[in-house]
Amino acid sequence: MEIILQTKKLNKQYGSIKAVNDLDFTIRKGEIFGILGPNGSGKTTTLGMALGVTLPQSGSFEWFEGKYGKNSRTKVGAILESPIFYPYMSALDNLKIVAKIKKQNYSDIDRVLKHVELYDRRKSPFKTFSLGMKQRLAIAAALIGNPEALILDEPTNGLDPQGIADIRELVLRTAAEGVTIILASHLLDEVQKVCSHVMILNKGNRLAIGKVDEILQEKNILEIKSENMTDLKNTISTFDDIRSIKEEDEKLLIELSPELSADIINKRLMKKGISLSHLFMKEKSLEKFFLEILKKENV
Amino acid sequence: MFRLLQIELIKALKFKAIWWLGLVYFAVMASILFGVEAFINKVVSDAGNNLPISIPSVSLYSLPDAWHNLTYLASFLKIFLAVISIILVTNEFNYKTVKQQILNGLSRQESFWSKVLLQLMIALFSTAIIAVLVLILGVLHTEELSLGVFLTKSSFLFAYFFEIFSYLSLAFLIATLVHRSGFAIGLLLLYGFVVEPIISYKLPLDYGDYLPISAIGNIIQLPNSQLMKIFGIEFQEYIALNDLLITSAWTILFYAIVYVYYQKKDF
Ligand SMILES: Nc1ncnc2c1ncn2[C@@H]1O[C@H](COP(=O)(O)OP(=O)(O)O)[C@@H](O)[C@H]1O
Ligand SMILES: [Mg+2]
Repeated sequence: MEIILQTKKLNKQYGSIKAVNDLDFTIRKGEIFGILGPNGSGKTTTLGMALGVTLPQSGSFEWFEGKYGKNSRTKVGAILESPIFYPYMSALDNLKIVAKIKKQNYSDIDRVLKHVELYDRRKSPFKTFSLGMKQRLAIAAALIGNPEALILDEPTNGLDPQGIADIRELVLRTAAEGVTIILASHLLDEVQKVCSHVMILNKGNRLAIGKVDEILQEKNILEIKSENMTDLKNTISTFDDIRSIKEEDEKLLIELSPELSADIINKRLMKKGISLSHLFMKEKSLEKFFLEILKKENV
Repeated sequence: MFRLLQIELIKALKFKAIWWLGLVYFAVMASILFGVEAFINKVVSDAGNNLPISIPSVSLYSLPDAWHNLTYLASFLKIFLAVISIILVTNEFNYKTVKQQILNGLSRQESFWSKVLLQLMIALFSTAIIAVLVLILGVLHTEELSLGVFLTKSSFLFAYFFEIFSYLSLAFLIATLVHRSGFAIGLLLLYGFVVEPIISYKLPLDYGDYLPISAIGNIIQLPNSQLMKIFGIEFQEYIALNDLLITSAWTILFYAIVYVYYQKKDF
């Protein structure tokens, strides 16, 4: 699969704060790649380095496997932290400047304005826009010149529920057109709803990276053991609320659906005449523990 | 380059305050240049009433001397141009658009060069206004017009352009380092009218002439009018290479600092 962005040991230090620490990751074409982490975990700094506004202390990164050379940045649309435009200029004039920077024709402007549903407001000064409209205009600007990748940093921050829904819908619609999306967010729920892949950051360190289904799924894993493992296995497989069964080190690892508990399983097995010699609810992994924190923060 | 020029033009021309500043600048400039001769002659003849000798009235407008006289006067208004430049440069920091344009794909070098082009445009704009005013006044007040009177001393026009461009380089440097327009304008004035004169006063001999504001001001020196000749005072009536060199050195230094800033800054 074609690589969109790859970093190698990126580092950024602010005074005594290690904002980004030896960060490696690879983003491939077609992914909606979420960078998930609490405030201050280094998401913006990471994107800032990849986009050239923040200079890394060490490490490197490469866009599109280097195939566009120095022009690679004009193939990336980006919004960092908040929409930035000249407040005194109309949406249209602002986009003209963006088009000039990206060496694109003005004719592309109408297309992106329509894409974000701001065409009718194109002549209004930027400063008269609501936050949601500003955010959409920023996405329009980022889409000028048909970029291969779109970077969004906390794009729903401060928006009302309607604004949030609009932006998420817009992101999915844009991704459906084949644009690779890189989305930084501190909202677990947002990443789960929108992204296909995720990297979890905490204090500049990568905690996990992979497919959203695999990394963010809530798993209840129970470790069990009995004298007669074959019997145990056969019995367990008759319970249809068990999601998966795996044998490991002479133990069974079974994944429970959320409403089940170790206690219920034990009672059921006793009824069937199976007594357990070992019963252990697997500890939450570091990532899961961290996700719990994230979830609590956002309630 | 043309692309960067277009970008800077859109930003500047859509900013209303720039039109007002430009208009006021033009109005003040035109009234000073059109009114100055009558004003000086009035002052001189009032003062001359009590003198035994009669003082000839001055003519500032006759070519080729008009090039020197009027560019000298016009250069006093360069602070207006610095204000325009400072506002447009600090805007980029206040609005954070300097960061966004890099996000949009402009390189750090292009960011820098586009602002150098802006200084060039402001200097050219002012030079063009002076050129037109000098030509109008000159044609109206010169007895014998020939190609010669237009060309002789027209080097002052180039010198004027250079003086403005150099002065703007200092304004650009200050604006880039402090980011706030009011503060930057204040610093520029403070340096020019207080700090540099004090340093200059403390320095031995005429080393003060090497300081930037003095060097820039020395390019076009006080014209040598008939009035001054009566008192036997002689002034530099040409553009001295030395002054150009000192000023060039400062200008290059100022731009170099800004260049490094644009390369190294975390936006
Ligand atoms: N310009 C800066 N100067 C000093 N510290 C900074 C700067 N930018 C970011 N930081 C610090 O770096 C860390 C990561 O910040 P950031 O990348 O903005 O996190 P996030 O986007 O995940 O909220 C934080 O501790 C933040 O305080
Ligand atoms: Mg951030």
